Amino acid sequence: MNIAVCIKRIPKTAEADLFVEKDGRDIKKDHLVFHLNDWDGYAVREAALLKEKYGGEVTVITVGPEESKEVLTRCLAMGADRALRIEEPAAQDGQLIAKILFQTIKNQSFDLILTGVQAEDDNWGQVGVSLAQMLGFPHAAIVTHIDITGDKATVKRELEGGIDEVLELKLPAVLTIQTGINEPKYVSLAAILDAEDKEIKDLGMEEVGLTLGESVDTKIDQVFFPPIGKMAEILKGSPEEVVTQLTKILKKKKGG
Amino acid sequence: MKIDPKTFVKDYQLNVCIQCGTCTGGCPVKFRSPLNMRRLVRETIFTANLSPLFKRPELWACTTCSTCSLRCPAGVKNVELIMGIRNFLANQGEVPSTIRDALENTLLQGNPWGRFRDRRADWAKDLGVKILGEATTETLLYVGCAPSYDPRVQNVSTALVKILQKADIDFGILGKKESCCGNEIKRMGEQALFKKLAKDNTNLFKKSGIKRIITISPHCFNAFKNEYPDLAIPVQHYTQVIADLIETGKLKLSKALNLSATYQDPCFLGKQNLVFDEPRKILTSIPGLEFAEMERSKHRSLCCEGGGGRMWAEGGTEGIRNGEIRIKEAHALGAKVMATACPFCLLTLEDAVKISGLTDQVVVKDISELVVEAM
Amino acid sequence: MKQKIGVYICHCGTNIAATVDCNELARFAGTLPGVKIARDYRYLCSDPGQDLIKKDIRELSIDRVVVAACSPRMHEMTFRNVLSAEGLNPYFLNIANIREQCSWVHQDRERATEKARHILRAAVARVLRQEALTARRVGITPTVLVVGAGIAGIQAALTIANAGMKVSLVERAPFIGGHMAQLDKTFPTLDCASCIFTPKTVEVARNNNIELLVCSDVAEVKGYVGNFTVTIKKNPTFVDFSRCTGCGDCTEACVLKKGVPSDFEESMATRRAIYIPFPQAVPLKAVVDKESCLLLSKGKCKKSCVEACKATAIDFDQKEEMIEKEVGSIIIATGYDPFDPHLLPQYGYGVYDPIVTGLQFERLSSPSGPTQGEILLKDGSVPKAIAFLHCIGSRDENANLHCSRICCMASMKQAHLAKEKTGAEIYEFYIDMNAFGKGYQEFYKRVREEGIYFIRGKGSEIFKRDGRLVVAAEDTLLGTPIEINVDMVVLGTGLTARRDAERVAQVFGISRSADGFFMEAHPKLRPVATNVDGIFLAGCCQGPKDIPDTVAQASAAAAEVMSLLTKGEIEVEPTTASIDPDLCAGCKLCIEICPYSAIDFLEMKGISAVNEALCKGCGACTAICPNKAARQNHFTQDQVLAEVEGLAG
Repeated sequence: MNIAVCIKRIPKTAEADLFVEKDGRDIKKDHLVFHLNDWDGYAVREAALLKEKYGGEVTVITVGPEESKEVLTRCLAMGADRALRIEEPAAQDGQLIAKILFQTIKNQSFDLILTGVQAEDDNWGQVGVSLAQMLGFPHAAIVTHIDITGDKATVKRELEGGIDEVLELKLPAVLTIQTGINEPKYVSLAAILDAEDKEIKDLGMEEVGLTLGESVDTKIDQVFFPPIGKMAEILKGSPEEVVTQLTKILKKKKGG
Repeated sequence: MKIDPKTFVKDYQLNVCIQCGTCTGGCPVKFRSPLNMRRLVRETIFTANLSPLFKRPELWACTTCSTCSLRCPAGVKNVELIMGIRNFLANQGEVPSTIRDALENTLLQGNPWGRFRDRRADWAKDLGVKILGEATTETLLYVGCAPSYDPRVQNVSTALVKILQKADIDFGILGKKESCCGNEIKRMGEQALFKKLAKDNTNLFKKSGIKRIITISPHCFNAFKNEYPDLAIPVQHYTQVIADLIETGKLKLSKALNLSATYQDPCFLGKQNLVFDEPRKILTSIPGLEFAEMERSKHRSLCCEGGGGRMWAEGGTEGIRNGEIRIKEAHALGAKVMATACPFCLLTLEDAVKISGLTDQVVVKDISELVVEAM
Repeated sequence: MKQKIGVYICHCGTNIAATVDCNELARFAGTLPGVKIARDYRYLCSDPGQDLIKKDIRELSIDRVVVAACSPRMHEMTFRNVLSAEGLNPYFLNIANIREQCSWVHQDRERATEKARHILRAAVARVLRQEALTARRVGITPTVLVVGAGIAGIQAALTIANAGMKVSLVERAPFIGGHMAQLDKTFPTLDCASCIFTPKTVEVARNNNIELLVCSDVAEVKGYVGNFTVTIKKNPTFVDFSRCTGCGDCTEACVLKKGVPSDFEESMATRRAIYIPFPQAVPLKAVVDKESCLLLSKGKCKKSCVEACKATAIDFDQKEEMIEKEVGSIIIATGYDPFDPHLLPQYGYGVYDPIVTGLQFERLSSPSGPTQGEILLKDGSVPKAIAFLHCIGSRDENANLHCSRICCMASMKQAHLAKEKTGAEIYEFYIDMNAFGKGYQEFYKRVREEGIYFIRGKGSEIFKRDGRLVVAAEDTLLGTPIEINVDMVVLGTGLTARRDAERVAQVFGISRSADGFFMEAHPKLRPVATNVDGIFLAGCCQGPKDIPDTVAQASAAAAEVMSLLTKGEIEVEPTTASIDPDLCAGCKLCIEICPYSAIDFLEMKGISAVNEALCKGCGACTAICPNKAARQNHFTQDQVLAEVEGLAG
């Protein structure tokens, strides 16, 4: 079966010093370390596992800058067979990304399209479902298990409270993949170096039938740090001292 | 990069093995895991399908203390076999999940803990330390990953800075540019990543114009001294430096500490690199410090189980940890302080103090911390 | 003068013929200048092969012979005798080595044959220029020097002395018997070592043909087979042996009450500065150790020993004596040193008292030892468990590669004695059981029957835990790691060459094997000869061995010596150098370079001259002489250059 996985290269921000760009619309990213979006990693791994089970080919697609080749190579090392990169437009939103992916995918025959549930940086969670709508394919989001029989996919969806919903979809379908669906396999540097020899196809916006100045429906107005609340009190000292202070505060609040 | 495990017999001299059992007999995890080095060597020679053999979880219990290789009378490259098997597994992506994370973190962030690169030198920001690139110096204090990021071990780094400054040594650190030395990476099986780290670090050192390297961790010391192929810069462990400073009178220890202490010989400093005397010289130079030797010391020191990637391993061993045995040994000796010179020994022994319920009786200190107290 | 050379190519079965085309070689040889006949034959060294050559000499008047075959070390003698038998001077023979230097080291037939052609051409060119020489006959001094008076030296000396020949027996220690004197009981018969060798040591002392020199070393050796001049350094004992009665009063009186570690007791006990080695020592005389003696080392002592000596035998004015002797043959029997386990720190030797070496255990077990034969710990208690560790310092990349041969048996014997004396739990940690000799497997069975535990696993480490020693190892037969608690550990320390073996080898001009022991002339066929004619080896100095093999080898060396000495005279190769007095400029370069100090400078004439008796024909003087005045028989400039041209051309 032919599977497409849509992936994104995002920066790791934990522990990093973050600075807002001059125009206030984004954070500075030059000094950050980038990697494959966590959810997408699970999706690629799942595609590789499905390929092992049912045969076929896995294609990874990303909309991103030249640097995105790094994560595409990683996906190739993880078991993908083909990699496509479409140059990212200046302004993006979930709809536009979905549109670009739609344009790229619509003329290729994929049985299954996987995306991550959301991206670690913006957490929009829109692209997968929008893409399904544009393609007119059945879809399921937050998928934790996939079984394929013939032209049907039986999937589990994660609901709150630990409940699973089981759905049957007719292929081709779009699934957004939740973390934990599988145990990620280590990708060795040796495998990555081998994958560097594989070809990555670069496409411009025009080549997928769009213009560079495509409009977006959503614009980021402002990005800012949360204000320091007046109610926040930083407790200092050794763990023993902090606990003592905290206990006092809690007792006071409780009225004791 | 396909590794053919059939080459292991020749690469690691397995055929010369006489099955004497010296390796298993001296293995620090021999009672804590089904790992049997002697049997592994024989099985590797005679088994046709090596995959299931190599996938046994006990192969990850090895701490790479290297006692087996050091003592083998026939010349079998035991610990190298373990590393070769782990390399074979890693290349296929078949490593335990926590090891996987440690390796991926190192590729991405330059340290197995996955901490942000730019935070690496935060511990030093108020200490007035030279950062290479912003200033020049000929001596590099190579800090290492645990001493950079772990709050307990940062005390050691701080202590060393204070000592070197007190002794008027001109030195600098690499700051944010410092990356993992790769010693544990190699031992977890990522030979390709180790090669890359070695190459990048060597170039970085050469470009920085340094003429001498001092390391905090014996693991880094071992990597630079023995395993980096093109590093022509002399490297020392900090205990060698401090011992020399004391001997030449450049560092005076005047405050009496009045305590009884013993010393854990770290495997990568002691039995592997034969640095036994310098740490002891330092300890016995501290006024008021009563030094007692544990039974299993120097070449026979008991591995704390921190090496070989064990800092990032989960489980695979059972029974009483070696760290606990050591703390109890120190306590029985009447020592109030367990001194050590390795960040991994420090962390594992401190954990052991808590497990053994001897929190008020024995405290673990790095030699540098004791020296600062006595300065 | 037209020479008639006969060239004979040997097939040597397939050794040569498989790689070199002998037929073609014979054809080629026929085309070389001076060659009258060229033949190839399957086995030239055989009787018919030799007859072939003899026939040609007779019938074709062949007057020079080239044999293309194996190394001259094999059959040069054989074919020289062929020439002599037909009345030709044997030095008209030349051997072309087309086996060790051609067929045995190459695989390409065409190229090997081409190389053989070059070798042959060189050999033929050389033989054309060879000259008739006559071997010198020299007399053989009918006395023998035996160096070392352990059981090997003693056995050799007695055998030779009882044949009526005179022997000088030189021993470094103050007593004879070597390491065997330190042993308790011997395997596999459990004979008491002292009991069985005392008759021999007593005989040595009594035998008129043996001159025993204890406390002596060999300082210098000059000369050659049959005619050695040796200089023996007799170290002062400061006791007149002719007066000393061995009563021991001096030892009692010695002011050095604390004593120094006794070598004989393997440092398990002390001795005074003046001491008698042990109660059954031969000779039973007191000696003074000048390093620990306060008078000799510090100059101050009240000399209580002199006062106590009723025989007035102590003489602090005794000086070192250098004694020069002429001997015909030498047997080296200097023995072994035990491996020092300090070199393997994992065993805790020197850290823990109850860890002892094999020899130290022998002293404990010996009735005349520090514990009167009882196996006791330092505090006087009896051990409840004892471990014996095999292969300490042997078969080890980190120590010595060789197997020390006797320690398995020694260990088992000691285990048996320990079991008998203490009833303790005994553990033998072994890798392989080397019980190779007569009665040895039977002894191994006996020891197993006695309930001694055999664990197949080399002791990896020893440490102390909860007051007891722990041996860490693996029971490889069960496949389980173990830690056994014991009270005492006996390390099966191996045998190594003596610490000063290198210096001794240089004094005698002999070689050492890779393992450090002295090298025999041929590992299989000449086990007691060395590369120096007239010097032989006996005992452990040649390699580790037990007492039966030592005695056998000592007798063999004695037999070789007697065979040499009874000849009365010996032929010496005439391939010595000489210096043309007309050409010599007196520059003395040859004297500087001669390794055998065989060239003298004649002051009166201002020229150098070779002492034929000392010359060993190495050719160094010939090579270095700028005037070509120095010349070596059978290796003249002409001959060598012709050979080079033949090879290169």
